[in-house]
Amino acid sequence: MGALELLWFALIIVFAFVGIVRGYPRELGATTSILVALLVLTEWGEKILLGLDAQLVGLLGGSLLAGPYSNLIQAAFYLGLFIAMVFISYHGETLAFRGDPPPGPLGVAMNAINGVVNGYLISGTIWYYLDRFDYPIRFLGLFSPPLTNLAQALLPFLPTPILEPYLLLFVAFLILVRVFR
Amino acid sequence: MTAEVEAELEKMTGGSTILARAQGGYSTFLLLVIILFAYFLLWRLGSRPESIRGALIGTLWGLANGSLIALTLLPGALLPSLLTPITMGERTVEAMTLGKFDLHPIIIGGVFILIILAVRAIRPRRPDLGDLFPRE
Repeated sequence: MGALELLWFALIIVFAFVGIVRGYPRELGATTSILVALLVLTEWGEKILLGLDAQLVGLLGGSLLAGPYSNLIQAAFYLGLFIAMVFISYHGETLAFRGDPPPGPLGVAMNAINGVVNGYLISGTIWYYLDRFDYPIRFLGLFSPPLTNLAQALLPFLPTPILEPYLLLFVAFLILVRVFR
Repeated sequence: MTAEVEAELEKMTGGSTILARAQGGYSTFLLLVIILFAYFLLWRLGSRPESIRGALIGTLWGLANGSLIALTLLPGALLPSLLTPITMGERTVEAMTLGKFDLHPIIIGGVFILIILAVRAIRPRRPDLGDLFPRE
């Protein structure tokens, strides 16, 4: 497998094409949902996980988070929840902005840019949680450390560290813009 | 080192208070300005250029909305009671370390404005605010 950052860039480009095909009014709806997912994970993810673990202690006779597979379980929880919310945001048009993008190259460019933003948010968040839990997918043979210099330099620019203080602001803003467009 | 310089300056100036600033510093203030400006744009762009009344109402509405959001999220930037006094020593040391200027608010503000412009470009456009009070 090649460098992780190459996969990241490739995924972002794929999402740019998805944006061009779907149009940015729909993509903005997905952006809103993705930011809500990030807000849920950063603000309440740990509480939910600890609560679930506390419930399971009685059933399993021990804490899952204290076991040898703690990192894998935590990564699976965060990524599973995030991917499920992303799937919901792309499935259907619940928060899509009604209307059509402007015609011509300007519209195509805006579609692509919004697609890139969504790709950055989605693949960046997945990368962030993999890194936070020390890449527990190693056992699948999908990745072998260490990270390249470029990948290490990119880590502080992933969506979660940059956007965490502003997530609530962005979510409120996008919902307001959606309503009062 | 910084603390020593600050203590020395405090001694020299007798700990005089020269001005007040919002809690959170310049980043919070910049973000506040950006929120207000973003909402100003949002509503101003919703009006036809020839509709002065609509533009005025839109602008005021936008500023009011922006203020409410800013007040909720950044109370320290708006409420004078939360302003903190700053002494000559603190201000001088702060000026010496201005190289660590935080770019985040500018980047985030730029994204806000881009979103507004993109949303305004979606067709058909939102009905004009000037039509809220039609002439008989």
